[in-house]
Amino acid sequence: MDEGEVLHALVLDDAYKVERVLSEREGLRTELVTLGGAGLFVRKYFAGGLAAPGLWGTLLGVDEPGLPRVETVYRLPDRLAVVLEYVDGESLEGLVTREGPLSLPRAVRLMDGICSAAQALHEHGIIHRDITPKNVIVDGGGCAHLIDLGIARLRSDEAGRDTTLLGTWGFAAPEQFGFAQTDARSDVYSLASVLAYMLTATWPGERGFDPALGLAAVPGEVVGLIGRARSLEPSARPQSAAELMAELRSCVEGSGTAGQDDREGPAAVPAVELRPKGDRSLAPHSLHVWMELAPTVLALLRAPRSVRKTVALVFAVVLLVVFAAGLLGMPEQVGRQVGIAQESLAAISYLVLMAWWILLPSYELACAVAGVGEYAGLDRGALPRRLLLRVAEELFAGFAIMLALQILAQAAGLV
Amino acid sequence: MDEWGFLRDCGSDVRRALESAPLDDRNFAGWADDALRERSLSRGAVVGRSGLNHTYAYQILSGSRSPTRDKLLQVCFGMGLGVEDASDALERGGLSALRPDRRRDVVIAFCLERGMGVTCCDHLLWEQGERPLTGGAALGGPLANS
Repeated sequence: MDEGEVLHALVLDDAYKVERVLSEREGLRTELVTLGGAGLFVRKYFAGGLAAPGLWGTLLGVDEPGLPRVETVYRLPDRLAVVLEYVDGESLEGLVTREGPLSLPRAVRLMDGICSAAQALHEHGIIHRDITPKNVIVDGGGCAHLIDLGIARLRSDEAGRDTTLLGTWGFAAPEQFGFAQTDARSDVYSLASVLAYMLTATWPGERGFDPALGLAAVPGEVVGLIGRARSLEPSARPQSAAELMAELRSCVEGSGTAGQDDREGPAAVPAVELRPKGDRSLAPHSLHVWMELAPTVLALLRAPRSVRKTVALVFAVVLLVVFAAGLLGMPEQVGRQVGIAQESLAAISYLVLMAWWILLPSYELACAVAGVGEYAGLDRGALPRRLLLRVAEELFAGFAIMLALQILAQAAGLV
Repeated sequence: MDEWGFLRDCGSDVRRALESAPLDDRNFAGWADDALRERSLSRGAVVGRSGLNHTYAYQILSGSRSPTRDKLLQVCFGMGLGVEDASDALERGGLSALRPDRRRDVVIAFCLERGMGVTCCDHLLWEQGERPLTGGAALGGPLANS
């Protein structure tokens, strides 16, 4: 920044009077400010890697009732400042904490506003990444506004995964924890979590969430939609906020509860299974992991017996049983009993799998270097060739088995 | 002013001493923030009057840079502080306060008390054979391009 730009930015920055600091966390400060008689505004400072001038420049042109208007964006030497319209109202979290679970028609009305706001963001290439009840404000007219784009990002098709791991536990989609890039479907996951929260007044991921959803006075189709929209696999979710809202309206109209405003007691509707019979598509991650472990076990079975390999074989068999049980949804039930969310089990299984794929070739290399097992007695020239052939053989066999299982599973409708 | 008078009334209880002490552990940035607000000063005006590179002056005010004594004194001139407040600012910045037994400090304090600017102060320092705050750059002297 040149001298003139710094001075101009400081003059602009000092023009706003700070009424109070709303929040402050690493790299992000939010203030309530006034500008003469122009009313209240919210000013956000983004430092370092959290600054996204391209994103805020894009939002300057967005005119959507459910999104706060961006008044101005300016850069200081060490941070980016964004001044936004102040939305007066109560947070959705506060509302539900005060009133308890909302009726379905009311929740649908609020979802309409939230989904419209999210869809407007997505159409401008922006992913919110932190759609939570805390970041939804309900104004005096009962309309919902989506605020706090503190960790929003512009969609980038080149990136393999987001470099910043952020989000609110229970509402953030699994891919936000580093396994893949986030896109509009990540926000769809969060939107469904918000809907579930409105209907149950229970935080997703908490021990009582699934039972509360099963007991809530909502049609089974809505519960099924929430389950689908909160799938670990993004391709299984509604592909956009607009699609989610359309399906929600369709579920509500189809069940005939569209006009009802009175909330029925929790015992009026029988508990609904979260996993409808015959639908096994909620455990694709378990099947996937099982298929990738199978070639590893095959390689171990072919290896000469030794203490270490016996232990590793037992370990692999245990894991196979656990992941195969994923086909039947058992990890979810086990997870509920021990208080671990299904997402945590998926994360643990992926970490174990990655560690396994590193250990197997490392083990072969160690055997080759030590000259044990089938590498015993080989001369130095033949060792690398044997090692390469062995690893390639196992990988080829492994992928062939994986491909065969994938084809079989798809034919059976399991994935 | 007897800054330590409160110790006489607290007996042998150190907790009473701590309760009576006028504690204030703000660093320079925190103190400057409050001082600007109390005096209704804008950072733009302070930065402009300091004679420093604007980005650098901003960083000093925000606490992200630790300046030398002379650079912090330039900021004090930008804020229009008197000698007491300037000494307070220097100490909060981890630097030594202005001392009446140092010739150069006397000239600087004289300028602060009379509301002079950085350039005037540098002229006086130069006249008195002392090193200017800006290193002579403002005066166009031998050090102007160093």
